[in-house]
Amino acid sequence: MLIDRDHRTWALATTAIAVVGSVAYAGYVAARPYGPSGGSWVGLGFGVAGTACMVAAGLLAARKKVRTWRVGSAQGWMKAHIWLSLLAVPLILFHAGFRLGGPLTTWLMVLFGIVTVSGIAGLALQQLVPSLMTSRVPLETLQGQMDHVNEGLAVSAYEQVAAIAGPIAEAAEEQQALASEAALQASRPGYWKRVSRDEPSASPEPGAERVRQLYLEQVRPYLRRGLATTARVASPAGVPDVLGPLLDVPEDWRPRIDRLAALCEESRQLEVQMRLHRLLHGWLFLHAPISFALFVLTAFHIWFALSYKPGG
Amino acid sequence: MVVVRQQPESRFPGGLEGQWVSLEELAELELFKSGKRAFKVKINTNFAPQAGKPEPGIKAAVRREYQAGQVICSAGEYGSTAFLIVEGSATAFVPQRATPKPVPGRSRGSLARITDMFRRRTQATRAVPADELAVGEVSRYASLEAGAVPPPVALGPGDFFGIDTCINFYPREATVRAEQRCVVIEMLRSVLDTIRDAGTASGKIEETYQAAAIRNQIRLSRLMHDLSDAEVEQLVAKAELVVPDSDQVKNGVIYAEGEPADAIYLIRAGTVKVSQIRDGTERIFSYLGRGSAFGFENVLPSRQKAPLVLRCVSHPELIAPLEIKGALTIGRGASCEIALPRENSAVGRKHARLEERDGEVAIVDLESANFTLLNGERIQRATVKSGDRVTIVDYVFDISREPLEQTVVAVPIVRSATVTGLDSFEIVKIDVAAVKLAARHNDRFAASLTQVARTLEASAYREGGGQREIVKPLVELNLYNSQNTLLIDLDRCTRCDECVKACSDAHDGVARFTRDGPRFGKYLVTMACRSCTDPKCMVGCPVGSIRRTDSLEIQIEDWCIGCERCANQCPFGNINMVERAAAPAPIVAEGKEAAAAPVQLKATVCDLCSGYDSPNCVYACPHDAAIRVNPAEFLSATDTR
Amino acid sequence: MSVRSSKELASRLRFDRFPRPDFFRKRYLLVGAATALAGLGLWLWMSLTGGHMQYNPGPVTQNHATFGARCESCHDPFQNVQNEACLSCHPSRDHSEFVVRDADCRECHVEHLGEAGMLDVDDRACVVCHGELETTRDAPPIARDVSSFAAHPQFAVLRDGASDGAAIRFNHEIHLTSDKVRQALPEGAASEQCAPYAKLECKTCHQVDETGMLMREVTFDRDCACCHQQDVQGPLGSITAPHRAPDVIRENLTAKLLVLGVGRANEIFSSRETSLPGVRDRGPIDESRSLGEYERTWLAKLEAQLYQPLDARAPLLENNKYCFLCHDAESPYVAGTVLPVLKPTRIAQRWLAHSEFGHAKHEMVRCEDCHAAVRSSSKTSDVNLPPKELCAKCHTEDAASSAGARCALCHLYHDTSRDPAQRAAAQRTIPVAVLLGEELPERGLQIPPGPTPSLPAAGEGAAAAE
Repeated sequence: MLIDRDHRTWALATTAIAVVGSVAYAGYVAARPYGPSGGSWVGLGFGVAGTACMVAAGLLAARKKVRTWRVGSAQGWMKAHIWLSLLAVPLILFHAGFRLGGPLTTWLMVLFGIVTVSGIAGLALQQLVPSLMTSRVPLETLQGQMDHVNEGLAVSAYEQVAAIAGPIAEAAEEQQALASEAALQASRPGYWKRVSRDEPSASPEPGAERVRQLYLEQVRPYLRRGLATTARVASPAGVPDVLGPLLDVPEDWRPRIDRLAALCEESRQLEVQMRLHRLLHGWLFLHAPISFALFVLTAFHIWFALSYKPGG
Repeated sequence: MVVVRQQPESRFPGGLEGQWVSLEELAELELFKSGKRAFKVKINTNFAPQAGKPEPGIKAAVRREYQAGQVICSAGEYGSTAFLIVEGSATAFVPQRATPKPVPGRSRGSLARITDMFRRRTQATRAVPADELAVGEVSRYASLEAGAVPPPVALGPGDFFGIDTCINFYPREATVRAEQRCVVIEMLRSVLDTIRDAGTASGKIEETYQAAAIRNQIRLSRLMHDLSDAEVEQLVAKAELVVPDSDQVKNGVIYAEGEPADAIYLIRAGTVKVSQIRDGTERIFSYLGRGSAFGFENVLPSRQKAPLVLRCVSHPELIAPLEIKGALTIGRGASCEIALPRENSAVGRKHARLEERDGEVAIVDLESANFTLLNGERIQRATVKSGDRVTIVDYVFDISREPLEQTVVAVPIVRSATVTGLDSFEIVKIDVAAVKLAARHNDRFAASLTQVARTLEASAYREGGGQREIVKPLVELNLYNSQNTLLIDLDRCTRCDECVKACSDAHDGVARFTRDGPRFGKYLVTMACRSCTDPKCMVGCPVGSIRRTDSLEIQIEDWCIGCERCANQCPFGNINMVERAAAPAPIVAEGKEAAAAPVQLKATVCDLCSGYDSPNCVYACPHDAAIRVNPAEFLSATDTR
Repeated sequence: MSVRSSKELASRLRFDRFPRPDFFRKRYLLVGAATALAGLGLWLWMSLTGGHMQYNPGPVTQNHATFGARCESCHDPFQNVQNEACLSCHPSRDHSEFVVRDADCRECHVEHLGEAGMLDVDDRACVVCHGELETTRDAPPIARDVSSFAAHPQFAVLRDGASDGAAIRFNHEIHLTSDKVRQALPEGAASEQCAPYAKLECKTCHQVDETGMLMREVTFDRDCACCHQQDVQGPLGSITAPHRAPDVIRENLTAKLLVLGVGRANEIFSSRETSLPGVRDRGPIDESRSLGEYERTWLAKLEAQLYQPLDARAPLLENNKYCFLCHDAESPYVAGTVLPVLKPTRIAQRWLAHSEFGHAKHEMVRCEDCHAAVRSSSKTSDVNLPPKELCAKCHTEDAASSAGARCALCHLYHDTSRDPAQRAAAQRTIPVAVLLGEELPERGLQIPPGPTPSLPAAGEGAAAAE
């Protein structure tokens, strides 16, 4: 979520509580013999407050399961998640007295640190990457449909080339796809996503061999690569140069060649989109699962710590 | 495979309520009389009764009875039916303010609300406040306000009303209340379409429809409310309905600049573009929509005034008297129409400008160093009239209305701009002679005519710079037609698909929109129903299942046969065909075979989450990126890149 | 690139799989469940390998480390460490009879901080009460807001009007400065033994005792006798009277006279006058007719010398030599009948009743640096202890660059030092089996409470622990 003026209230409240907490902590540390302890009343207070913040923040995952329930808008929950988690940091540090403690509590601090840092990293990514995606991927499509769309690009490329160079036997999958599409459109007269395709030319036009060669050697392999590949991505070096070698084609082929170049460019953009999407979402794989482990261990910590020192 | 189940919330599972009227009975009515053969065309099996049953599963035309005082339809409501009075009488009137009927929502008791919360259904749709809903007002562009209320109209047997709502899907223009016991036939659009499409009967209906359309438009127009019924009838006689198919319309151009100004126009439906061609480029001034009017060149009396003349009294030998026409720039520069001596450096190169429009002259100071005085007062921009004195440094000018030596030649009044209709439209064209005649006999009408006309002209030719920049992309993306669409701020969107998932959760697993679409600057215009003012999707639905019932959102009823017509017609691809879980049982007419294949598809569209208190897509976006707005009002020049 | 219409876009997409979870979403819940289980597994592993040690927030003191992972030795579930747990091995004593609230052991002795926290009690633990002290109604006056050494009031023994009430006359000034000291030393065989006393310095008489805390008691026999031998004139020369109670002196002198009278009767008695057998005729010193009479006579003579009343003319030493040079009589000597009763001297061994001063720890400091007043102290009643300000010169709050000013440096909460019996009882031996955890110590054992030290009233001076 973009941090902007709408966060003022939350930010102010969090800062205010943190400041008040710091003052209370300073006083508590000065007054208490042997310094801070998580099991003292004040320390427990911080612990309860910090855990409450963490639990409230963690409920975001549950909230997302009941999207249509009117239990507060998703934006409100997101703001709460961000600021309560940030508030939990000083509270837990005050609870722990800035000490790691024993093995269990050390693990808790480590996991807490991972969750918090990954969350902050994710938040930072959310400030930057969406607009990056918007500007770098004008031809963005839906993440879940990227493979399908990429296949569509390959089919369109075949369509353009076949219209010049006739049917190409090597491109069997594309021919198959076109045939199924035609069959579907034939069986469903009212089909609303009907597209009209250019027919492959009956015989290859003179001079089409170059185009066909370029297509088979470069364009088709490029478009048929899986988008999961980590080959050279953002750099155009991986994208086949269509326009260069085909500068001097006849004028009426020009639109088709341009379209081929556009298809390659679009495929490149899809790969950029995939990378950026992974960047934007990958940290969640660390953030959320580790938080589950954190909650499990927190439950143990609460039980056993209270069994040794219920306050005072 | 995504499948859709029986829509549980359909409020009209059986079509219309009332006593079923078969198409054959309708054909016998005077209005629809034609060869019976015509009605064999395109009868959908759903609308014919099954063997042994008295009524079909879905009733497309019904007979209903109203007692005296009962309201048949209310102004401001959305609807999808037309009414034909068979017996009795009713009154149609425009209430002072439209009171929209809130959509009956779910239960409101507190316990029930709690359980509703867990069943994912919440409070009723919030009723739109009355003052947000102006009668007949749909477009935001330079529109007339329904200030004064037209007088009520009596309706009797044979009168056909509600056609506009039925065909164009605008809210009802008037409230119709039965005066005596009244029997009406209510019909869905598909019935009307079937009849209109069928041969000889259509001419009469078209006539009736057009007459009704013209009369209603004139009556409702604020321009005309000072006229008596007789005067209105006179205007109606001289009026015609202009549609894209009309002979006079070529490529959508209603009239071009320079053509004689022989009529005024009232827009009933659709949008028009007002533009001029200057230096080879088109300058678009504005877009006008339903409720607006244009073409008043010939009506404004100011055109008949003598032009104002500028006379230099301080240096009469330097500058000749000049009639003020168009724009005159005063300054030292060579390009100025009124060129002051170059040596006088106190005068700016472009010091001031006189702008004339329709006889009104304004003086504008072009940020000069030594300012411009009007009657001794320093001004930035002001209107000048006869007798004013303009001072620029040493030079003093008088403005007067003395006619020049040559006589004023009566110039035929021509159109000052080109008006082109976009997409489909219905415009009432009234002969200007008839209007002038009415104005001569009715002072009040003349005064209001002038006043309204001026307002319109001023707003139509306003040079709203920033507005113009976005108007082009708005038109490109067809956003001027949209009333409510889902925009996604791409700088905030993390592409998490929560909006889509929420939509899917709220609609039995079928998402009603796609998070993809064209971009407007940083906003993604999603493929979600845009609640168009002129919805194309509803045109020609054979079973009338896609319609607006009593609110803005479009519903696709359960009796959709999956013919994909609406999906094809939606220019944006916002209607999606999905597979049904179970096909409804085919309804077989007596003696006929079962229909070829069971229906398997159903159209789905965004229904603005009726039944929820707010749209779920917006509610569920964690990053505050999704907004539902009227795009033409929301988007501004700063959003374009 | 021209604007693509949304219809075109729609035709590219596949709506039958909508919305479709991507790579991440499909695996989300799986990974989440796996990580949660991993967390559980981590806990299980820590429990299996370390047991309860995973909850240990910090190392315990060395002595308690023998408990290993048997946390129940001290901890009861869902309770703070109870006093009985500590007392089962460590007896305690009440702090004072005037306390309003007894502190729990754990309030001042905090474990799991390594070696710190258990023995070196933090000042703040004391200040919790002594910063705003509440006592029972009958408590003697005490400062109520001692929150640091800087706020510590002046030592009670140095309050205005305080004096040493010992019933003995001693003039430090003369002893430390006068030449006559040397002259008073005896000649002869005793000279080696008494050589150190030729020039008196502080350490000549005052040495630190074996505890390292107080000064060893100054005794007459060791420190005064060399110069102040109680020699009285007997029949054949001087007889040294012991420095004892008068009745003991009498017995001693009587014995010595008898020894003389019998062993050297010839020198003392004439044969004619006595009926003593074996006595030859020698010159008579004594004309007593019997030993008994000899004893009585000479005893009276000796005692008369010893118990001469004090001649108060200065200098005292010139005119006084015997008991009453230093002592005062409670009841006087009546010649021949009543022996004097001397006032108990009540010389203070320990001046600071409620704190512990370790002279051994201060051996780097010269005596006069703190007890500067001694050299000019001529009266017994002088209190020659340094004021608090002098201590504060070295004992500042900054523990890094000074000797520190923690409460526990001088004060004990459980003050067993005044009562040796209690102290002995306090040292309880703990069987090894208990230390190794083979048996749990019985909870709740306590030693009976003993008398608590009381504060001296102003002006009284320190009371001897008696």
